[in-house]
Amino acid sequence: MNSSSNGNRFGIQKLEAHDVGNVDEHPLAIVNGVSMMDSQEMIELDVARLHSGQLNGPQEENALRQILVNWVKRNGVGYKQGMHEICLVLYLENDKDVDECYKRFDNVMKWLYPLFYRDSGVNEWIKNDFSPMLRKMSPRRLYEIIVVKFQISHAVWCIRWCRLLFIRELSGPDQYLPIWYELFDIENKGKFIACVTIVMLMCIVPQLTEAQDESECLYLLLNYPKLCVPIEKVVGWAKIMYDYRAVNTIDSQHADSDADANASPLEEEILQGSNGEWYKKYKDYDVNRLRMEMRLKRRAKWRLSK
Amino acid sequence: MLQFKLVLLGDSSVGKSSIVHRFVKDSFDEYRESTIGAAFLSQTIKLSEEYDEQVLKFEIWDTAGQERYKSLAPMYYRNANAALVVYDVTEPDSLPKAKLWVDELKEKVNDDKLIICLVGNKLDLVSERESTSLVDEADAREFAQENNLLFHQVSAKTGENVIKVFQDIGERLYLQNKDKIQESKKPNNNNISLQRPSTNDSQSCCS
Repeated sequence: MNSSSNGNRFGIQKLEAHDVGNVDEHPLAIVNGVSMMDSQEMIELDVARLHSGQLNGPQEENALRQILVNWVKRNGVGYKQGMHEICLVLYLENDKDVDECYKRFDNVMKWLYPLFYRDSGVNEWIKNDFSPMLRKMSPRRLYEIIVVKFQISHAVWCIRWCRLLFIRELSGPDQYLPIWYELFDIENKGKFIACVTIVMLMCIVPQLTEAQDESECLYLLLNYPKLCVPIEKVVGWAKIMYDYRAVNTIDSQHADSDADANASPLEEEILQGSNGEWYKKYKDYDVNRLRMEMRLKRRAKWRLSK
Repeated sequence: MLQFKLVLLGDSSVGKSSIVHRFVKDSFDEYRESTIGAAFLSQTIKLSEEYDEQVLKFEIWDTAGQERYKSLAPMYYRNANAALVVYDVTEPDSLPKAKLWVDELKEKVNDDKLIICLVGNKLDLVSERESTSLVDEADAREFAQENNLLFHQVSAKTGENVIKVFQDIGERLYLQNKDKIQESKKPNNNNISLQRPSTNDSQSCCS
């Protein structure tokens, strides 16, 4: 759906004939094709399931519900699972001040909703930001493993990464908040999220290389291992990648050229910095040769154990 | 190792993830966070002697309940060998929604070989509820029969019947693929995947 003159800021058309403010008070109201009852019920359930040790009792849970309900009503869009976790982080970050949290949540959703919560958002981001950058930054490793070898559709694994802004992939606010704060200030949010995602994938290149089939690879992508470097490193590398692209945009149009098939210096730096021992040993290996070697090792181990 | 893709579908909060965790980790949490997009886990089972003591590996896609009305679900059930369509026995609204999932699977996957199991969860709560507020078991059973589905009632909390669901599906898959399995047991052929080839069809997602 494209943005139009009578659409809201998410490009969703408003029903001009109705006074939306009154209509959506009715429990069976459907605003812009979105059932307010469904949204409210879903918010009810999701907030109850947060079970955060940092929420003290039903009063604070209700405050969170109210922020979400007000937000979906005012914007005429449906609630989607995941928004509640973003909202909780902002609620805690703003010392449980409801008005402040609403403002911050509204600000974040201004860009997060069109990027990842809108129906075609994730796919557009993959097509425009993530895929081209993955291919450019790691043609011989990540692109070769995920796309060429196992033909994994990025959308199946990256929805959670993107919608929750790494909450579940990282081990707590100490790890994801530094990324969020960087993100709040950066201009091209989609691009920066692509950079962070790729850096995080580069940190697990050894494990991804060992994956023997699609299933093992998917398992890693959907159950991200404990981060092996300080988060400041991830943010730092992501910023370099973000700027790197800015000065190399012309190259990206020639992703098939031989020059691009060569290693990117940033990837080498990240591998060295995150998995030094592994890098020293295997840096010149082709991932397919490495996978074969790992398979032989596993078989030998299995035979010995019998 | 024989690998099969299994997907869980059903309304939000019916206990899909809890069933998976009971099966994969034999554990239960009273509070489980909402699934966003999907989760991916795997588990192997060994069938009984009657089924050659065959070992099977399930690759399990546990989807988010809300995706029923969105277009994300197809990318998770595409190429599945089996589907658990879950409802909550204490939530009468959840059975009609499970029926919608079954209809969608039959229409979109359109594969006679897809094994669908209708699963009523939260059996442990039945004794403390009025029978009028429960899903009528006969209704669910009848729907399963009419649509040629497997049917089980389980409790992810106590573990009751959970393994049975996967054993039952495993046995069907074994019978369905018996010939290929015999073939695979011939020398030098000990690793075979019976999954249909995966595609990278982006059209069925988020469009």
